[in-house]
Amino acid sequence: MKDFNPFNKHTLPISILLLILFLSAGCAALEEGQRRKQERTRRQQQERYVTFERPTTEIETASDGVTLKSEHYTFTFAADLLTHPDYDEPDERQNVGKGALLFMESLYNYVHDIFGFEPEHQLMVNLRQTHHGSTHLATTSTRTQTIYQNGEWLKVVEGIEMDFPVAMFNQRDVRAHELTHAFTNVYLLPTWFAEGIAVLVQVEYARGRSHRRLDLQDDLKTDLDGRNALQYWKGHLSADQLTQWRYSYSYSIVAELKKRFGEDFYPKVFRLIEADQLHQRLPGEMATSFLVYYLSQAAGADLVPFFKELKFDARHLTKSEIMAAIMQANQEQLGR
Amino acid sequence: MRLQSTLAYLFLAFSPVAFYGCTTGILAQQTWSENYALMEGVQANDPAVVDGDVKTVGQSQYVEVSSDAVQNFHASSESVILLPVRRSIHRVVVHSSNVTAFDIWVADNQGRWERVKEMKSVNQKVIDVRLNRALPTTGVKIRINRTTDDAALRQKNTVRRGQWVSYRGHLRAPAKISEIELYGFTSKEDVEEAPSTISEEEADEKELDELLEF
Repeated sequence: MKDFNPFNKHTLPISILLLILFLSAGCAALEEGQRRKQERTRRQQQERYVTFERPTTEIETASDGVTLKSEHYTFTFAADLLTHPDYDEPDERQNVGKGALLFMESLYNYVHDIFGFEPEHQLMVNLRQTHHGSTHLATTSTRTQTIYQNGEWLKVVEGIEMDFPVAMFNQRDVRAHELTHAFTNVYLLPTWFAEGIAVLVQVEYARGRSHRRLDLQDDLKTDLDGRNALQYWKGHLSADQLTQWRYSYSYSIVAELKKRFGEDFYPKVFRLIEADQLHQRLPGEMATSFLVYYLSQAAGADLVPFFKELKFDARHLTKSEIMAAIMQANQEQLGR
Repeated sequence: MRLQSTLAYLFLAFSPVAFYGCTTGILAQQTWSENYALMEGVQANDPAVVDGDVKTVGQSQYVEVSSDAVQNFHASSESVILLPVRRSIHRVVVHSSNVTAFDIWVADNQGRWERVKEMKSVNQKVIDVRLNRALPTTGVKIRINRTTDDAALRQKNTVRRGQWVSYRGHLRAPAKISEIELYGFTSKEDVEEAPSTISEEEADEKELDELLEF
């Protein structure tokens, strides 16, 4: 009589089942590993190259190709460009304009992701042969109007205009710089900070090479009163031998704060400014102490000593002091 | 002897089937895939080169080495396309009005770039390049070596003072690229993944072809 051994009887099917399970689990793990590796490689490539997905925007073109419209932009070929051999035919303008708008729409989403907010207005982009007589000067200007509302004077944005000579428009990092101004100009930031944050996006996000980080102590420059030579900078209108230093040093301050307080620091600063809406009541450019108030709030640390060390005229302010200073400045302006 | 003749009959009977299977297999392999550059989730350093419209003009972007302390005016420009998933690329079509010399690079598993083709003295506006083999990759880039606009840009951005030569801008013009298309061969996975845009009859034929491949 044969011994009944249940183990022997079921060994083969169980082994096969176990083998199948083992193989399928192994395959799934391998596939998952490969997928993760692909994803990691792709992320590294994206960081290195600044790439964008195709935007889904519709682009409307005028029959003469001089003006094109997309979701966030109105793009115009300026009169001085219409005789240029690359843009003198409607077809050429339409095809180049559509390509330019696709890029600008992608860049818009990119800058939006960095700051977490966007301008309320369509951005006007003018492509020119020269701007203010130069082929190397791009600008972004924000037109505002002061209106009387609920017993106080408020600044409201009427339009944002970006002007690029072709040579500047062809540089991705310059477009990113100007687009940052288009996003942030509404807050009437001190010039040094507005330029610093635009250079930050230009260099650290759009991989531009035109500015480098300076040492905040070793490369500090002061004016005759011993104040940081940045503090009363009026932008590209006051170009002098310190201009390049000013862009680089502004960027260095902004980058240092981002390094200390993290990636979300500036979105938080703008959220706080936006929540208070005090910038709408400003008669002119925001004072550095006013900005330092918001920077400190976002950092959760007192940043006045940091700015004093860099020879800025900065002092501790409370919100009521800021309000009082704004009201006084507005009354003085009205009196004049 | 009987076994031998049986085998011979079997061989004769199945050889036409096998031959048919082989030819359909080869023909199926020769069908170009969809343009991978138009896949959902594709990224490019200028989205106009992958928008599916051969009229929209985009351009290659300057690449500067990350260790450069100052701008490199000799920097060349590139068009980079990153695919969301690995695909085997065997054919690259570049639509450009000014490019005359360029290289094609593909990314390997580690994200390192390997040059797989060098194109010199190109004078067509649509450059259809077949790679030597199908290359599985998640990224393709076109590095621009020369354009018809280089000479004018070099002249514009070169300043000569006596023996001294200085530069005030880039010396190589970016390529005007209206589209870059990437193709491989149609694979079974592609057919399964592709949305059904073919008729039922065509689908049956395709299924039959695939069965015969086995």
